[in-house]
Amino acid sequence: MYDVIIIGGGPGGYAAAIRSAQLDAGVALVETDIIGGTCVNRGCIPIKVWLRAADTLRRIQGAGDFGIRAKVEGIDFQTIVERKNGVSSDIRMGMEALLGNYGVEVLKGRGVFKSPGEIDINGAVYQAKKYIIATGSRMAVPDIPGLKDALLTTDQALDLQNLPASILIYGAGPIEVEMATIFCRFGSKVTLAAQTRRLLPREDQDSSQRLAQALRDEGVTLFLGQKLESVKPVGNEFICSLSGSKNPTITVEKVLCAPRLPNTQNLGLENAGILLDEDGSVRADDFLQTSVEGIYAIGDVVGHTMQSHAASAMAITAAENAMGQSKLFSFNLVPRGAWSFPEVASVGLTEEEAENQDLDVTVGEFPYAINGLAMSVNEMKGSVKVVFDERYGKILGVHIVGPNANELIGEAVVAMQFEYTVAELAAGIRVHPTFSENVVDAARDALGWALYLPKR
Amino acid sequence: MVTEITIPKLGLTMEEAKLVKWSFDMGRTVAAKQMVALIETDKVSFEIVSPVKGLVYPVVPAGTMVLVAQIIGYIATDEAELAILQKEHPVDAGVIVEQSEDKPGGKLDKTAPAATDTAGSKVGERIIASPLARRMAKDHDLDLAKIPGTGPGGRIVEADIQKILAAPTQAAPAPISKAPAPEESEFALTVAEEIPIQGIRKVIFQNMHLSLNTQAQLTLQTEVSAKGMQDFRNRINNILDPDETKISYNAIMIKAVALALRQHPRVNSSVDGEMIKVWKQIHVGAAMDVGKGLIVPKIRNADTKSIMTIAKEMGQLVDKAKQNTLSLDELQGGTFTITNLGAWGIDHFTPIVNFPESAILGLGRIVEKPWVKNSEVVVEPRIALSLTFDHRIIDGAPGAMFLKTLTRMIEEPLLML
Repeated sequence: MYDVIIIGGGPGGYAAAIRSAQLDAGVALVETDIIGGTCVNRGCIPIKVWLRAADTLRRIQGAGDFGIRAKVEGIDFQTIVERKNGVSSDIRMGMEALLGNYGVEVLKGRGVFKSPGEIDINGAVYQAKKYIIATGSRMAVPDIPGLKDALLTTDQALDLQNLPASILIYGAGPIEVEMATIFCRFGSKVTLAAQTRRLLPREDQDSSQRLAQALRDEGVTLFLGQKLESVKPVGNEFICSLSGSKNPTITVEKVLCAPRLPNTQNLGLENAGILLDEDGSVRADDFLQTSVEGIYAIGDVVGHTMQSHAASAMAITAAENAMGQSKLFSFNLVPRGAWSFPEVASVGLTEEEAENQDLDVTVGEFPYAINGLAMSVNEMKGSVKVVFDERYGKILGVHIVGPNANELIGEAVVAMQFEYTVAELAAGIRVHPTFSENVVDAARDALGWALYLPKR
Repeated sequence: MVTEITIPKLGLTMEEAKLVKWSFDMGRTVAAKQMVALIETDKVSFEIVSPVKGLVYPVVPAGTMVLVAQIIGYIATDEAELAILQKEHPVDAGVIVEQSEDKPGGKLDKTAPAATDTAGSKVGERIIASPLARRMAKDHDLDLAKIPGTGPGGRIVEADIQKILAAPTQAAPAPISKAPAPEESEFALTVAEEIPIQGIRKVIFQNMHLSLNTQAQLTLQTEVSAKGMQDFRNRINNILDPDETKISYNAIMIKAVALALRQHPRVNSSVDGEMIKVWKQIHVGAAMDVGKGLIVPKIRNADTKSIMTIAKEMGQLVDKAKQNTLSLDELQGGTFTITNLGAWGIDHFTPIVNFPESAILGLGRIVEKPWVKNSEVVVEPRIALSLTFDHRIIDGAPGAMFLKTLTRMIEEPLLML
């Protein structure tokens, strides 16, 4: 009998296994495929390698502004793919080694609950005092006539040796935005369409608008508030019909579609009595416990922010709770990120969400355009926006579009975690010139005394 | 070497005290065995003496509630040590050495972690709280020192303040004050004085409620002749030397009660969980009001002491009570209480048991009344007795029998021999 069995070896399950082992648990980790999950093998990490390639190209193409005359002779996609595979496998090997180091037993196969206390793996029955479900999410390609034939999944896209000349990316989430960024930079003609009226609909409206403008500047055509009705083959291409106010048709070589759904099927959740939420995710409370005592769920499978860092943060809480503690998970402190040019990152409430909560909302904003470093390095798109409650100065949310946004948002997470008011943030000192000065300046603007903005 | 000044535990139940005053300003020299600070519990005042000679460094300001074992200051051997203390334990704007005695709001929340818990949010005088929690507390006029922190390391966080604001009885403004101008109505009540329920009042407040809330209290009342007791008292007092303590009715009563308790041990007991604990010792307390609220000093093992001794000890206790020098051990651990309202012209009443004891005897005045004796109306001094007891553990008949034994001894004090 194990103390903890963790189902799923992605970033969530991996972190949960190590944390449980640190707390002296006997741990087994069940994985059907390879360790590392979507993040390491098919998501965050591979995309970052591609993005770095795209960014390198971008910088070379912009090098003339700094007097560097350089010409790109060609792009060897195979090298990108090999590098991507190399990084993934290095990380995966590191994870496997560390699991061994902590004495975590890795059980290969599909874990299926037989009852709340038993799990079946390839016909063998295992028992644990506590379970942590970390099965992640899977692709869920929508049922659109003809889409199948034109479909390019992100898995396929990350292994491409030749990029399509034209592509429709259908969806407005972080993955779609990142894929659009990559394809566009490598010369594909990219159209991004989505049913939602704005990009990254979970984000602040200002962030969506700034990102939309940046993508347009890159050369991406946007059709927002449009539904993909059908895909019809014409020769080597496909005609995609969109429904909506503009009602356009687009001819492309490929259609990329990447919606994800929580992995809740074929896990025997019903045998254990584990309930799902309306959106199909596993229902978990603030302690990350499911509807069944002693069974926890973390990461993509519980929905919310389907990003790797959310899973690994939940993993710590779930593992500690499984080992007898009672920690609450702070859903409001999970940052969100997208790696476009420029990056988009945020934590907490958007201005609109805060308004809807009837709070006395005030915002402060500071654009990259007047930041010394941004001007020096010619990366001036973007802004830091601080949303706060006027009453006590409580920071409700921070929204950053701009270079290094995903690093900078850490400042906001720390500030909110330790309950700084906007006044503490405004009183901060940062090295000059850095992008981080923008965070402090946005807080000062929130209080009405940003030094480097015109008098209000 | 720096010597810590800590709050002593003066009795079993003592948890906190009020730091009334410091005898010295910061940096002044105190001699060994000299009083350095004065503290006051809900029952006694106590002088803290310095164990060594040195320079006083107060950390906690006078007027604050402090916990047992809390460090309230230090004694430095020399200026150098004092300088180190100032660096290690900076005191905001200098500690106020003396403060008005009854500052409202000085009461410490007992749910707050003690300062000796290093994990608690109070390390010495530094309160660990998030900036947001501080801002909210300031806005709502909440004292952070009274708020238990639930954040990392006992840090006070937003949720802790929200909890207090959500609790209707706490410092959050009562909705009535926001109701449409009640003061404009001619029928509205206006406050003449607001008296904080704290200190001794709070202890009485809680004990009275606890007593009635816990026990099933029944009061039996009767009246007996006080003639025998009067004669007995006069006879003894007449033969005493002028410098000997005269015996009081209370002393006689204490002795009589103690002897009656010996015959009816069940009345001399307490409930402890699922057990009735019948006490071996008989410690009789006499409730008295010396101007600072109700206190009940005890005569220990009253059944074994002579009336003369009891009278003498009572005299000493009263003197101490007046001087506020009673020790906690003289005030707690009783097994039965006597309360006397005779001086205010009361006959019968329903005393409330001094919890966790199980019975209390109320004495009325001694008054001459017509009384039918042997078919004739005679004038006789009479005294009313009111016995309240916990009916959960003492049935009516045994309670009445205790009273009967007692009345016989009062009517014929020679039975006490």
